[in-house]
Amino acid sequence: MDIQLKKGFLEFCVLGVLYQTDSYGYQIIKDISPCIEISESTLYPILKRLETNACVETYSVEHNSRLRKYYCITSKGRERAKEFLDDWQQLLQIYEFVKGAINHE
Amino acid sequence: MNKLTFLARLEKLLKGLPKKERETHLSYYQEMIDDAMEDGCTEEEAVRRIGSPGEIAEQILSEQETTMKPVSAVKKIIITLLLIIGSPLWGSILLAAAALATGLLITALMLVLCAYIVIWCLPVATGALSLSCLMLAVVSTIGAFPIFSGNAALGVLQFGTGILSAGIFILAGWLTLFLGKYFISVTVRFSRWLKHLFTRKKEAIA
Repeated sequence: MDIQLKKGFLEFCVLGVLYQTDSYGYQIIKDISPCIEISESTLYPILKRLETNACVETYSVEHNSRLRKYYCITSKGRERAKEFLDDWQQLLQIYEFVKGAINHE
Repeated sequence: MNKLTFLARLEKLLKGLPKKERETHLSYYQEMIDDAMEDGCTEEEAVRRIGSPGEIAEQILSEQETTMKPVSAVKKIIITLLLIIGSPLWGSILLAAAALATGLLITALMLVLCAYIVIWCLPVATGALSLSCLMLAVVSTIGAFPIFSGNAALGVLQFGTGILSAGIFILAGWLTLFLGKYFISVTVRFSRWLKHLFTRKKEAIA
C-alpha cells in the first residue's frame, strides 16, 4: 500500500484499538498486525502525532519492575475516529471514481 | 545484537536531539524489546524485529525535520522576559554601540566641516585684509585733511598711509576674488566627491 495512505489509515487503526481499552506499544502492534502490517518504528511517530494533537493521553504503569507507557484515547480522539467512519462514503466514491477511470480504458 | 548494544548505538546516533527527546525514543524501543521478550521472543529476535539502529535513527531524524513546530506562545513569552531581564547586559552594550556610532557620525560631520573651513580660510583671510585696508584707506585719507592744516609732514604721512591701504585693499580684493573663484570650484568638486562617496556607500548597502 502507498506509504502516505498507509500512514493515514494506521492513525485510525490505533484510535480503533484504543477505543475499546487503554493499551501499550507492543500490544497495539499485535492488535493491528492482522489487519495491516505495522512496525515499531512506524507506530512511534503516529502515537507522537496523536499525542501532540490531543487525540491520546499517556500514563505509565509499573510492570515487572519496569515502566510501561499506556495510551488512552481522549474525547477528541473518539470524535476523530467517528469522523473517519463518516468519511467512508466519500472514500468509496473516490474508489469507484478511480476504478471507473481505469476500467474505462 | 543484544538490547544494550542496540540502545547504546541508537543513543549515539541520536546525539543531535535534545536529551529529553532522545530519552523518550530510547525508552520507547527499550519497552518494545522488553515486551517482545516477555511475549516469548529471545533477546536477539526482539532486537531484530525492530530493525537496525541506523534505520531507526534515520527515520526519527527525518520525522524530526518535518514536525518542527514554530516557536510556541509560551516560548515567546519566556524569550521576551529573558530579553527584559537581560536588558542591563545587552542594553548597555547596545547603548555603547549607539554612542560609538553617534560619535563616529559627529566626527565625520566635523571632518567635513573642517575641510570646508580649510578650503575657505585663505580667501576669508585675504577678504578680511582687503576689508580692513579699505576701512583704513577711507579713514586715513579723509583724516589726513584736518591734520594738513596743523602739521603738513604728519598730514602727508597720514595721506600716504591711506593711499598705501587703498593699494593693499585693491590687491587683497583682487586676490580674494581670484581665490574665491578658485575655491568655489574646489568646494563644488569636494562636495561632489562627498556626494559620490555617500551614494556609492548607499549603493553598496542596497
